Amino acid sequence: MAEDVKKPEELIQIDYGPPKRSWMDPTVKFERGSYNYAAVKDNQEYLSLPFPRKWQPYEDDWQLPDGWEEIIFKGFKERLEKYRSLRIFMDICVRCGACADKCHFFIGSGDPKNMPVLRAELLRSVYRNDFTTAGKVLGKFAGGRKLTVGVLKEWFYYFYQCTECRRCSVFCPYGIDTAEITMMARELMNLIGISIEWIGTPVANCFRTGNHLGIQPHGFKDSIDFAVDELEELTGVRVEAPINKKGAEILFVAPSADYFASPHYYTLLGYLQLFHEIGLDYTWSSYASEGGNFGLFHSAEMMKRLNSKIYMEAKRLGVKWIIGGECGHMWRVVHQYMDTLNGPADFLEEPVSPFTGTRFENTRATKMVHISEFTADLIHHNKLKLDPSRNDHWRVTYHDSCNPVRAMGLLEEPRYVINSVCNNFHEMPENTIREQTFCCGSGAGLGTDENFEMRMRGGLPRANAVQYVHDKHDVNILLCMCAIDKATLPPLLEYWVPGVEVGGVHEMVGNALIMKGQHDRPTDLRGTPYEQDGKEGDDNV
Amino acid sequence: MTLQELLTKNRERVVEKWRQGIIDTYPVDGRGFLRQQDDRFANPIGYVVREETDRLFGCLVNDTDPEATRSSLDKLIRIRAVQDFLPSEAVSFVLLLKPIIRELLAEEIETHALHDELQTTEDAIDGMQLMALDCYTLCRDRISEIKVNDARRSTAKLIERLNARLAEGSTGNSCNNADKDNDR
Repeated sequence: MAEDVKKPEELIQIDYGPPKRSWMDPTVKFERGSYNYAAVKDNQEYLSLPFPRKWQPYEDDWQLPDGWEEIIFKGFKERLEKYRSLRIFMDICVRCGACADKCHFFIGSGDPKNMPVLRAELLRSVYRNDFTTAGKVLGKFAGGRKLTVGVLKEWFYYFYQCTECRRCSVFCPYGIDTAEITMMARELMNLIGISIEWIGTPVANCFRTGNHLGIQPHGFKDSIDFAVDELEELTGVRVEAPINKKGAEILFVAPSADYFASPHYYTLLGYLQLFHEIGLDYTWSSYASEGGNFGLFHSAEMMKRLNSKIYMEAKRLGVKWIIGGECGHMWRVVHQYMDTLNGPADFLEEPVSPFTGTRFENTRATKMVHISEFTADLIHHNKLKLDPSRNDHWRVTYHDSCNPVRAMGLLEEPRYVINSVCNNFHEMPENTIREQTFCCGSGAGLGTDENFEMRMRGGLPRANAVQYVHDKHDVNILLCMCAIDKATLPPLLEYWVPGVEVGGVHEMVGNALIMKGQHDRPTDLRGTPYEQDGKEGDDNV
Repeated sequence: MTLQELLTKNRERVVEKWRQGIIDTYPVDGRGFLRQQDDRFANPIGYVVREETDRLFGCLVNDTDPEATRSSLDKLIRIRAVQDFLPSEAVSFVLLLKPIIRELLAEEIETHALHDELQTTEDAIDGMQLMALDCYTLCRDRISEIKVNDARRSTAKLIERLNARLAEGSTGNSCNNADKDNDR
């Protein structure tokens, strides 16, 4: 028919939309910038993990072991029997969609398989197919899916696009912990030798030398000594930083990035100043020289292995209790899993501040106090001499790091500290902070160079809120309390909001803290000179 | 009636269709959210598409300062440059405007014989498309720079310390000093 013939304009029209497919059909393309490299064979062997081999996600053949489907089936069955929560999470979701638009990866990419509900369905569909009567009989019609190589590849792609931040869980009316679904999916993949490099290597390093870069004890000591020297130059005060001191009252554990990376390092200087100034009887440990527990991103077993190092060291050194530094996932492990994994820590005492007498009852089980709780208590009892004007060159906002805020409810203490040491603090919009905080987009082992574009997508909602306070209040620093944040927010902001720096809460404490015997301190901890009138030059910001 | 007047009169219709076309470059199941969620913090992509398409259209119709055009394009492309798009897919949304204008306003263009003006507008859209390519390239260059900075930052203090050690060794006038340091 003549009227059916398309006009030239119509013929050249291109459909810009992606093809329409059912979510049930696995379709993953490993595009550069959106996936992580596979775990290194040597490290897999070092950790005695099954099926170590050289492979990469972008290769067609993942060299899966014979009978891999059966291995996963058995692993799934075992976990369903072991963790009642997993079975509940598999059964209970009514697909109401409350979580659907809460994931930063979905918000920043528009990819529906990053809706937490749909990401969980990738696992749930296999559960239905293999473990429910309806699924076994009706298959696809009951939402069941057979585990195939395509499905496995999809698991890998999307469960390593979840930062286990648990923002979606805040909105779930049934309280499904989507991070635990991701954790289980990763555990299942581990059974057939599938994991990523930026989990395998840090875990192996932590296991071997105590920290994720594999820095050995003498290197660790050297790092702390260097910071002591530098702090003396900056403040005129020579601080003590004991390492492996038996009989100290407190063991202090920080993420290892604090002593070798920037801007973490300035937070380390803040800790050292604070502990010196109050005369804390404490010790660092070259054995428990990493707070960050990369085992959390791997498996319950690995999380247990790494967490136990802190408590074994506390026992060996004979300390009374533990303070933990500005770390993220260390706190989820301590607060939610430690007592079950390695508890009870009954060889330690219930933490009591030696300066204020405050009993940290909330830490009765773990005996581990978050440094912002400790510092907030000191400030509340007027134990510190502070000059917040020394932070006047910073116009501050605060990013609630996912794990301290959502896994342990640390909402007010860091704000109390910041408000005590800074004069210019501006909150980001309500639906982007506190329990609803947006993830940095790089947690749970995803903060790699090869995954850069995906990180930029995942971090868009956070950066977007920073942009708002940058435009409105001229905010020039984003404070946070997590080593992964401090490592990954700087590139995120360089891309989305140039002109905003990243720092730690205790860096601000260090700047504001007036120390006995200090010299003029003409610079802040970053070495940037203050202006004559007490304010800092523009070249810093 | 001039084409400028016609476009101004139909601004909402044209821009809405354009937005729709941009949202349609995302997977089907995510489009409803991108289109409907109004909160700028809950839906930054949707917000940027909504705001910047309107601004860009204003720039096109009113022949505004190219800097304003560049700024709006940058906001849109900064997002698309890190998403699952080929370079051509990331920037070609600009060209979508051409068929939308032709299709929606075909009758009026015919009636008022605005073909010459349409040609001029389409040339301006082509110019905008080239500017979009510049924005895309700058975004990708920026990513390369950031990756380099990121690698430096991750071991910043280690390298600083190493350099300090080397400096100590060279001013100590003795190889033994350096050796001693290295043994520590």
